Amino acid sequence: MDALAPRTRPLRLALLGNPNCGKTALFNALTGARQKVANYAGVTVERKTGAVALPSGARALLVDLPGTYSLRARSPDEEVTRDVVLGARADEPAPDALIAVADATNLRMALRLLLELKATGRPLVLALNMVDIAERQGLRIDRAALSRELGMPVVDTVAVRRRGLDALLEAAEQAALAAPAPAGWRPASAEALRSLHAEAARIHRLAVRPPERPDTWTGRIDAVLLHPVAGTLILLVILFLMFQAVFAWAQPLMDAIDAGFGALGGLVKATLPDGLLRSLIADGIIAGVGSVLVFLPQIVILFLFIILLEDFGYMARAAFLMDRMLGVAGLHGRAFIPLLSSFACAIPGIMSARVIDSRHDRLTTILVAPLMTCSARIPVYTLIIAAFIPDRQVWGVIGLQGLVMFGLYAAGIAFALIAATVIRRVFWRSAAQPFLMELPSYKLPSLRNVAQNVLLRAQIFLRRAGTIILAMMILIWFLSSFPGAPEGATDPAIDYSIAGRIGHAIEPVLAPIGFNWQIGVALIPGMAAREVSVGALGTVYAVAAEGDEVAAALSPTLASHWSMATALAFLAWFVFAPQCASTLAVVKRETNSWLWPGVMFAYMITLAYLAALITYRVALALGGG
Amino acid sequence: MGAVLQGAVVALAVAGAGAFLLRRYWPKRPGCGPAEGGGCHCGRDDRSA
Repeated sequence: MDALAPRTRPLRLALLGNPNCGKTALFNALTGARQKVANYAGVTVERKTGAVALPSGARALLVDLPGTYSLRARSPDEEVTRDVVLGARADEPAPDALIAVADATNLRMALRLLLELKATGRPLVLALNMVDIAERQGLRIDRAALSRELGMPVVDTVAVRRRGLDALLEAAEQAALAAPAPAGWRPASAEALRSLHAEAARIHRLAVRPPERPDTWTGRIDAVLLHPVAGTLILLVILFLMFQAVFAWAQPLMDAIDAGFGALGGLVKATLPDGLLRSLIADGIIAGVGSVLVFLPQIVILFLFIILLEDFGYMARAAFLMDRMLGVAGLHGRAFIPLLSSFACAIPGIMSARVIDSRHDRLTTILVAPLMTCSARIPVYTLIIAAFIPDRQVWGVIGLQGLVMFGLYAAGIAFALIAATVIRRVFWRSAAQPFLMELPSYKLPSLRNVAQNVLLRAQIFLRRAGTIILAMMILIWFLSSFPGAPEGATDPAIDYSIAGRIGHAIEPVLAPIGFNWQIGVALIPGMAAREVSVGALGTVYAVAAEGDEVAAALSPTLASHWSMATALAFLAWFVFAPQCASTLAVVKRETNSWLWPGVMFAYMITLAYLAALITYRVALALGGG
Repeated sequence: MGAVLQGAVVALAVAGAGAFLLRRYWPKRPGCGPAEGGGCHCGRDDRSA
């Protein structure tokens, strides 16, 4: 490429490296984007692009690629990386330069990939990331020797502190403009691989001096946290405390938001004249959207815990502890990452199943991922728990409400493992693949990253409330209000509405599991998103409220209209029900077939109905009617 | 506010909500797919470009 010729397109730079070496943190720092960053491998499963301003003033397009240990790709995400690097994707021009990111504390793992990348002939720059931690560990890295042996510029970076970014971009631009013709790449023979290993080991010995006083802290902490008994107990205690905090800390904020929406509804009823518009705003929008927004504090607290644990490096240890349990269920150890992501939302969870190379293991993981308790279930669970489970302590110190929440999460995990066992036995009987995992070093969580990720979760929740949930509430209000009651009608007006009629029509199917027609009305729009069911209940009960009476908060309304058995059956339903059209659509996209979303819908709806039926009948028998 | 005006505002809100949901849950063009948090999104995963 002629450096002096005017450029007709921006430079394309690709970030790549081993999993968990800080590629996405570097991508976010360079582009100002807010992609998810976590201290465990496999967070990025498809390539992301962003614009970046180079120190020369030119603009470039930066591509963040999934982590890989080698160009000899084994899983779909690693194939993305290999194909982009080699320019083998029809929809993606080859990058002008590669920015190879290496974890300075674990350079040994990066060297083989660096040598493979060098063989492709693409212009290369090495970003030696996390040099601050390497220095603290006492590692001494000879940059000059490294650069000489690898034949590429080496730049120190600390992505989370935004250090070394300009120098890195400058080096990448220079490398891209002085590009030689790519030499191509072929998978290495066994002999060539052995010599590649030997060369990587030679360079490591030459350029990296181990610390004079090796770090023993990681080993000491791991001896406890990875202990089969003590480690598992600590994991359970951490999860347990997390759910206790979700209830204990969030309550004052939730009460304040609830009171705020109550006051707003009252104000609208007091100022607007009686009519359609007042009903739409007060009963449809404020009662519906308000009953979902109340749960923002709980979502923020839950994700604060999860993100802090991820950043600290604990989640990968949790994966290690869970591997045995996953293995018993026939799930691959790598399934932990998709399953963990599914606690936020099943969609990124199912997408991250691309890190699993075996098709059978990947399909099993995809099919059970929606059983993990996603954040959309939190409003449903907490609404019912707050309304029906007494706020008291058991055994002196444990909050009963938090305990029930913990139980619902545990039920999701337990049934995911059982479902995985059954799926593997029914559909295929291939042997489980071995699992190798790199444990990241412990790090103090970066406040910036934690704040950014918590804010992202809050934004996703608020965006949903302001778009899908708002639109759904308007439609549900419409369906609950029209047509009005005929002259001389004696039943409540909502019984004559479209929603009322639909609810009454499906009531016979739902009656055996204790659901009334209002629940039936709420379950249908709940297919758009689970928490829409909560908003729909808020709207349906608000529209049914008499005259000028301001609809009470949803929780006490449900407590007076539902039996304990119905409430428990409703919780059991939501542990299993496939109440999310987007999840089914992403399964179709990821499996390229309607068969698997069909299988998923059928098994989950059957489980949901059976679980609700059994729960309802048992609760009735125990006097919960 | 007159009943007709109220009716018009409400009809507009209902039609707008219906159109929004139809557009969101009816993936049509190549490159469109389910988005985290429900619904669909189109285009590449560029959040900054």
